Amino acid sequence: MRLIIAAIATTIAIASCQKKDNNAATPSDVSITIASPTGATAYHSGDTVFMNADISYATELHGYEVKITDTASGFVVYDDAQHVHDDHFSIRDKWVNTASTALVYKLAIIIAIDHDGKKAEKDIYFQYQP
Amino acid sequence: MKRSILALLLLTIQMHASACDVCGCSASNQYLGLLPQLHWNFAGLQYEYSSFSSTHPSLFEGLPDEHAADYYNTVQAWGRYNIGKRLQAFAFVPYHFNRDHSDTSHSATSGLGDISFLLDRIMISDKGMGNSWGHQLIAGAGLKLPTGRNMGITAPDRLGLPNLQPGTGSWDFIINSNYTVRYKKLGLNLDAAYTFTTANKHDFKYGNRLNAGLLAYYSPKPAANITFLPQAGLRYSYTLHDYDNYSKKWLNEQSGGYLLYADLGVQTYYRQFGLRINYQLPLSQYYGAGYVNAGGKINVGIFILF
Repeated sequence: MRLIIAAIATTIAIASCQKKDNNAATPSDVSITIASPTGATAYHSGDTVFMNADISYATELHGYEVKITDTASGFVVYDDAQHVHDDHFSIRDKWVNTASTALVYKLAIIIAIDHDGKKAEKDIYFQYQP
Repeated sequence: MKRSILALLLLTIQMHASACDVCGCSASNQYLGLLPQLHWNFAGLQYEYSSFSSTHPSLFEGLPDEHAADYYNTVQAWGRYNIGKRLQAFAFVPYHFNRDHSDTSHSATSGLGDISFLLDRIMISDKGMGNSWGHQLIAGAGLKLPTGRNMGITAPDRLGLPNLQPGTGSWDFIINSNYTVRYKKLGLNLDAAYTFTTANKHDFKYGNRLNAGLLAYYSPKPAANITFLPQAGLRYSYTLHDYDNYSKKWLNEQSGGYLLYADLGVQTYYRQFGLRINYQLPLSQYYGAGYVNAGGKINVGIFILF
């Protein structure tokens, strides 16, 4: 009986040790490839801006934010944040602009590497001509 | 007897002390509690309601925190069958109706849950003589089958909430013990169950969990054929962190934790028919890294002895 209890207690103690991936969060190692939009493209009123990006990293990522900012006023005109728990994923978002003035927009793709605030970011600027 | 009680207490304490600091709990904890007549078979139906609310801080600057409230309803058929004089088989067949209300969406899931079995051995069965001491101990092991639907990691899982889906998708192994000591009309029940989880086909692994309870009861006999058992005690559950991906050792440190409940209830029997009602009120908790709060639990069951 004593032996059984000792064996069970040992098994539980071993099973309670939780190994974890200890890769240090390194924002510069996150690969963010933005396929669209490209800096060379000029968009017109009613055009759909497709935001396509592929993300990869050595270990688990926790989420992303896709944000478009009007560089003249600083207003955020599009913002989408999602939780993702994977080491690679794709972003497929879209936005249609109908503003009446010519503007330069900044698309920022921000990746949450952990829950402690470590992030990686890649920006791209594109033109809008109504 | 002293040695058995000491061994059980040691086992419970060991399970608690060896786990990590920040952990959580699961909706699918299975435990026996105070059981009716040791040598009788029984079949029963029980209903359990529990709820959790959570706040998940935004990962990104300027965006609001996310809030969710989850409601778990389980109807479970269960029973015990004696195999010979020393062995007891238990079976649990749950059906879940769960709802999730978050800031941005509402969802509901229902379906057959994970069926589990236990095979226990009667280690001690001492009824005592007349008004003297009596005690009983059963202990054994079991298996939880992946019979409930599981779609892999979901948004509530990411918020550290217990499994909202009907099933975990994993084969889990259970060890349990249940000890009852009685003196005259007073009794004490100590039960503990530990579940060793495995990764499911999505490589998600729910945390191992301990569920233990200590119940004191009183058993007046108001009339012939009627037994009445008011009971009060504590129930404790402790769950290790989940793994988002077990092969890659992606530990979700915002999952798991402990819950300590005050447990109040009553069991009553008329001939072979039984009824039990329990309410569990959280006294202390640290769950989902502190972002998840458990509400009270209600458990109502009927059973028939045969």
